[in-house]
Amino acid sequence: MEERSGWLRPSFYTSVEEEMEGVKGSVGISDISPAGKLLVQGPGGERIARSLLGKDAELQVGRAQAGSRESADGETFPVAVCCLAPEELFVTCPPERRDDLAGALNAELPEDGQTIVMDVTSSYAGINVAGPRSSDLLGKVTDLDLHHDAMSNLACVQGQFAEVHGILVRWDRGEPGNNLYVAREYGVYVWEALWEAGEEYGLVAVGVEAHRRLIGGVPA
Amino acid sequence: MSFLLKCPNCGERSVADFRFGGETNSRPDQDAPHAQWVNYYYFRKNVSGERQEWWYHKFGCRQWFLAVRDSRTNEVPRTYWPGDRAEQAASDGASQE
Amino acid sequence: MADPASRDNRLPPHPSQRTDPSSPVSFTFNGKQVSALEGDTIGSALHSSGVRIFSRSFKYHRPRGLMCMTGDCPNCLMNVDGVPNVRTCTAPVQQGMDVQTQNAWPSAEHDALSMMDKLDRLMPVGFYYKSLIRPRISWDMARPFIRRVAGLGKVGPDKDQDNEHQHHNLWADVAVIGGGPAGMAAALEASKGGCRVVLVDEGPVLGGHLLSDVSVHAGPEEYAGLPGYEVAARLAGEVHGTSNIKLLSGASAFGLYPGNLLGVSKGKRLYKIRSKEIIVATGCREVPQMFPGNDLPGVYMGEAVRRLMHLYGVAPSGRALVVASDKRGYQLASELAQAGVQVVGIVDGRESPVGSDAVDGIPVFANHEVTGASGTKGVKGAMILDKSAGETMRLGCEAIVITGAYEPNTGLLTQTSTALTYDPELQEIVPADTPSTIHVAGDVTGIHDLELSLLQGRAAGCEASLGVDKPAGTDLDALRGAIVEKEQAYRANLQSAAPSSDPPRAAGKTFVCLCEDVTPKDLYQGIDEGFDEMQTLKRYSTLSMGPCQGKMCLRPAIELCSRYTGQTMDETGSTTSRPPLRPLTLGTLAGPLHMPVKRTALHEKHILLGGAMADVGPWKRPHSYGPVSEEIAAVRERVGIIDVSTLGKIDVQGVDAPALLDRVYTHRFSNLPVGRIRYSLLCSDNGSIIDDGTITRLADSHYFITTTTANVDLMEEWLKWWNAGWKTRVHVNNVTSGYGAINLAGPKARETLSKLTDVDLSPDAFRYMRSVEGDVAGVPCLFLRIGFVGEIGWEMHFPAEYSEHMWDALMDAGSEFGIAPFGVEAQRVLRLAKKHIILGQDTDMVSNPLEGDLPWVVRLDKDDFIGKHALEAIQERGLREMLVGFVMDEPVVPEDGVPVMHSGQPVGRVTSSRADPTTGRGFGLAWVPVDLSQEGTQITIRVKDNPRPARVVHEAFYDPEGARLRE
Repeated sequence: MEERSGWLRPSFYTSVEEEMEGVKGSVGISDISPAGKLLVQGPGGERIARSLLGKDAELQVGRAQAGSRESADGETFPVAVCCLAPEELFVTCPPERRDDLAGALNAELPEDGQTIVMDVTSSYAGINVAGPRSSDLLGKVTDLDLHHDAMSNLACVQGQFAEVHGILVRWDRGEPGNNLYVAREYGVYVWEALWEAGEEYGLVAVGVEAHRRLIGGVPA
Repeated sequence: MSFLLKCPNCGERSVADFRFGGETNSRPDQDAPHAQWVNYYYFRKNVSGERQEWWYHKFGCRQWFLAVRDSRTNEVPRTYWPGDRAEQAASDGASQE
Repeated sequence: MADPASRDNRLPPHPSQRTDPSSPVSFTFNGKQVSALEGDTIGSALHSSGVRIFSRSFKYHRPRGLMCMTGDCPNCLMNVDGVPNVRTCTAPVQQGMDVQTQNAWPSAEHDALSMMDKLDRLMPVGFYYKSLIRPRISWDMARPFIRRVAGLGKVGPDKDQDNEHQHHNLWADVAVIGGGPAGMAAALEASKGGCRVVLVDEGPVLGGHLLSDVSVHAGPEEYAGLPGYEVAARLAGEVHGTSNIKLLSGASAFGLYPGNLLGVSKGKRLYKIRSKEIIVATGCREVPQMFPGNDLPGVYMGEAVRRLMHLYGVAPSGRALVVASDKRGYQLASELAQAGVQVVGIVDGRESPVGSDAVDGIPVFANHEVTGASGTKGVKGAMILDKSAGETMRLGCEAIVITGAYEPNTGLLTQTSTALTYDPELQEIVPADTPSTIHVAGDVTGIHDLELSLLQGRAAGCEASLGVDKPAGTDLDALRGAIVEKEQAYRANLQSAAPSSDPPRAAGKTFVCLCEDVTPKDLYQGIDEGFDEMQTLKRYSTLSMGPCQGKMCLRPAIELCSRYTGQTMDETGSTTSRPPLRPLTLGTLAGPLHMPVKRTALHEKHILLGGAMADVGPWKRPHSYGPVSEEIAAVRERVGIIDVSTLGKIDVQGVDAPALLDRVYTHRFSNLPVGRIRYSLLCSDNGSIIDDGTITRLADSHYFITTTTANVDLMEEWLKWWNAGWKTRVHVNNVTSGYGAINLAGPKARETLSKLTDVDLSPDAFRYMRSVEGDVAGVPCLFLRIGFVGEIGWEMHFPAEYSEHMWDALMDAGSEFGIAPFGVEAQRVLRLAKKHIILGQDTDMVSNPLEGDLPWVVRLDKDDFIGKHALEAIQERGLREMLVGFVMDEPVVPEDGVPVMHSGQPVGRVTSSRADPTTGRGFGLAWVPVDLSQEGTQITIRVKDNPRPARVVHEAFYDPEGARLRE
C-alpha cells in the first residue's frame, strides 16, 4: 500500500508488468476512489465550466471535457468536466487538489444562491475499467449501449451497474478505458460483481503504479 | 415489462431504470371541501389510452419528469419536464401515489 | 441395444456430414457404453447404435422414438448429466456424458406403466375437472399415485448451483433471428450500410435447413448447380467475413419483448439484445399427419431423416414408406434409395402429381393417404387408402417418413402484435401484418423456395437498414418487384392435395399432441362439451401445454377442430405463444446473483471487534459485539460508541428551501434558527406518517436532513417530486454515501470528545438540539447534539473516508473511561426506554402523528402542508387509537406484534417490547383503543398465548424529564 495525499492505495497487486499486460491483453480494474469529485448544480454551471475549460467551451449533456486549473501555489492540474444535465456538472480532479478546487469554484459562484458546488469525493467510489474487453465486461453488468457508436470517447452517462446507480465516463488513454463511479457503500459490492463477471476474460486488478503508467500521467 | 421511455435528460432507457409516480392530478386548495380531498387522494381516472404520468429516472439523472403513456400499449409518445408544455395544465400540483 | 461399433452403421462419408469419423467419443446411456463420433448429437449417436425407443409418453407411457431431429417434439427428452428434459436430438455429444431415459421404469424399453395405454377409458379429456371429486376421499386416495406419475423429469437437488450462468447485454441496429439462407441474406444486406447486426442462429453452424439439403439448385444464378449445403457454406463464409455482423451460434431466441428486447439463451448464457429493427427468419417445421399409430417409433418427419443421413451419416433401418405432396418428398425418397434403404413406396395425396420426378424403382401411390401404422414398439407396416376406390391395403415397412406439410415458425412473431392469417393457397398460417420495426423473410412466410428466401432476406435487410437510417443504396423497389413476380410464379405452381378424408377410422390411437397424449377423440369430446375454439379447448384438453408448446400439435389441432365445427381456420383461432419459446432453466434466467449490499466504511472494524453482522435492509450492521446488557450498561454508566453511517442524509439548498420544508414536513422550519436542530415527521396527504428524522439548519437556505435508514431513497424522491411539482428552486442531494456518522453517548461522552476537539462542549455552550461545525482528531465534522438513546451524546458526521480514523481516535480517547461499542440491538432497547419510536416498527402505513402520540411535532397553525387537511379531519372526528407505553405487571416479555386483548377480543397490538434489565418485566409500545389509553389503565396482553396483565404508562420509562439528555 502507498499513501498519497492521505489516501492509502495498493501500488500493485501482483506485479506492475503483469497488471499492464493484463489490461493491454484483455481488461483490468483499478480503484480510483480518491479522485476529487465535485458536483456543480444550477444555472451558474456554465460560467464555472468556462473557467475550467476556456472561455469558448460549449457544454453538451452526455459529454466530458478535459481542462485544467491553476492552483494558488501556481501549479497547473488537470480536471475533467462531465456534463450530466443542463444544470449539473460532475468535475473530477487529482485527489490532493480537491479542497483547492472546491474553494476556488465556491468563490466564483454567482451570488444569487441558485448555483451550488458540493464536494462529493466521499460519496462516490471510483473504479477504472480499462482494456480492449472493457465494454464486454461492463456489458455484463449494465444494459446501457456501450458500443463506440453510442458511447464514444469522452461520453458520460448515468445508468444501472449490477443494479445500482452509477456514473460512467468513457476515457480512452492508450487503451479503451472507463471510469465508473458508484455510491461509496456499494464500492466493494460492485468491485466484486465486476470481478465475478470478468473471470472469463482473465480480469486483473490494477494497482496505482500500473494505472499511472497506462494512462501516462496523473489520474484525474 | 421491457418498454422504453425517453428520459428528457438521458435519452431512451428501459423502463427498469425508472420509478413510476402515478397519473398526474391536482392537489386541492387548502380549504377545498373534504370530498374533494378524498377524491384527490383515493381516486384515479385510470384512463384506458393516453394519460399523463409522473416518472422518476432513478438509475439515471434522478429527476422527475412527465410522460404521456398509452396504458393499452405502453407506448410513450412524449416525455417532458414539468412546466415545459401548456398541455399539462392539469398537473400544476404533484400527485400522490 | 445394438453393437457399440457405431462407425459400421454409418453411411459413407459425404461433404455434407458434420460427424468426424476419425474422432470417436463415447458416453454412457442408461449405464451402458455407447460410441459416437465428434459432431454427433446424442440422438444421432443413439439412433446409430440401434436405439429406437427414446422415451415413454406422458400419460399412456407409449414408446416414442426420434421424430423431428429439430428440437421441436417431446420424444427425445432425456436426463443428461443430471439435467432433465434435454432435447437429445439436437444436444451435441460430449465425451463421458451420462445419458439416462426418463418417465419410464425400469427403462424406456420395458416400462411397467405402459399398461396406462389400456386404461384410456378411465382418463377422459378434462379428467382433472370431472373425476375424483365425489366422494372427496377418492382424491386423497388417488393423489399419491397421481403425484408420483405426473410431471416430467427429475431435477437433482444439487444441480445447477454452480452459478456459472452469465448474462450479457447487447445493442444492435438490426437483429436477425435464424441463420438459414433468408437470415444470412438479410444480415449481409443489412450490414452493407454499416448497421450493427446480430445474427442469432440455433444451429452449431450457419445454414439452417440448407445444411441437410443435398439437392442441386437451379437458381439463383450465383448458386446455380450447387447443392444446398454448399450454398449454405458460401453464405456462411460471407457472414464470417463481415466484421459488423456479430454471430451467436447455438443460441435460441426464446422471447421477443416490448421495446424490441430479444431474449436469447446460449447454454448457460443469457443475452438480452436491444435492437432497433428485428428480422424474423425462423423458417418452418413439418406438420405431422394424423393416423392411428402416428406416434410409433419409426414414424419420422422428413427433416429428421434428412438430418440423420446428411449431417450424421445415419440411415433409418429397414424398409421405408415416404409420404409426399411436393418435390421435396420425392427428392428425399430418392436420397433414401441412394443410401441403400429400400423404399416401398411414395404415398401422394394429390390426384395426379405433376412436376414431381418419379424415382426409378419406387412405386408411387397417387391419390392415396396413410390411414394407419401397425406395430407395438415400432412401425411394422402402414395401411394406405386409395381415395378414389375407397380401398385400403397394407404395406410392410419399418419407417414412415412424413413430408409435404409445413408450418411457419411464427412463435416469436405472435409474442409481438403481429397478425397471423390462414393462407388457403399456401395452406399455411402465415404472418400478415408485422409492427413497423419487425420484418419477416424466408420459410416463415409460408413460401419455400431458395431463390425467394434469398430475395426476401435481402429485402428485409434493406428495409431494416432504411429503418435505422443506414441504407446501402440497394434498390428496394426492384427487390420487391422481383419478389412479387417470383412469388406469383411460385403460387401458380402449387399443387395441393384435396383435403384428406375425415380422420382415422382404423383401430388404434392417433395422437394430435404427443406431449400430453391428446387424441382427436379427446378434442371432439371437448368440442362437444362446449370448448369449440382453440384457447378454451387447449385449457380443457391440455393440448399444446407440454414441452413442445404446440410446435407439433397446434396446426393439426386447428385443422381437426375447424373441420369438426365447420368453422374456418381463422375462426377457430390459435393459442398465444408466450416466452420462453424454447425451454430454458431458471438458473439461466436468474443469472449471476446481483444482490446489492451496502457496507459502511467501518464494516471491517465491526468484524474485527467481533460484531455479529445483521442485514438491515440492504445494509450490513452489527447487531451486537457481545452481551447486549453490557453494551447498555456502558452507555448508561460510561460511554458507548455506535456506527450510525447508515442514517439517510439529505442536503437541501436553495432559495426556496425553507418554504419547501415547511410544506412537506409537519413541523415548521422557516423559523428554525441557524445552528439549531428540530425533529419532525413527514406525512402523506392522507395524514399517515411516511418518515421521521432531524433537520439541522446550516445556513439561511441550507439544511441537513437525516432520514430513517430504509427510507432515504424514498425521501430523496419525495422531496424532489414536490420540488418538481411546485417548481420551487431547491437542490436536493442524497449525501448518505458521503458521510460517515458516529454517535458517542453516555455520561462520559463529553470528557471523551473534549480530548479530541477544540469545540466547547460545555452544557451552556453546546446545548441540546444544537449543531456546530468543527474538527475532531483533525477531521472536519458536523456535530449534532441529539439523544436517540437517552444519554448525553453527539452524532458526528464527517467525510466517509475518515471513518476508521475517527473510530480509532474515539476508542483511544474513551479507553480511560471504559468506552464500549454498541450495536443495533442495544440501541433499540435504549431508545425504547425513552419511548422514541422507530418508523415501520412502531408505526405502519396508516399510523398518523396525532394517534401516534406525537402531536407536538404537528403545526396545524401553519399554512398548508402535506397531510394538513387529513390531520385536521382526524382531529375533528376524534382519536380512535393511541400509541402508548406499557409495563407488564409480571416478569414476562411479550413478543413484538402480539395482540392487546379486551373482553376476549384483540383490540390492539404490541409493536416493540423488551425486558427491563432490573425487574425482568416486559415494557414497550402498543397501539390500544383510545378508551384504554389513559395513564395507569389496566390492559391485557397475550404472552405466549396466555392473557397477562399490563399497565399503560405515558412517560418515558427512563429519565422521563430528559435531565440526563440535557446535562
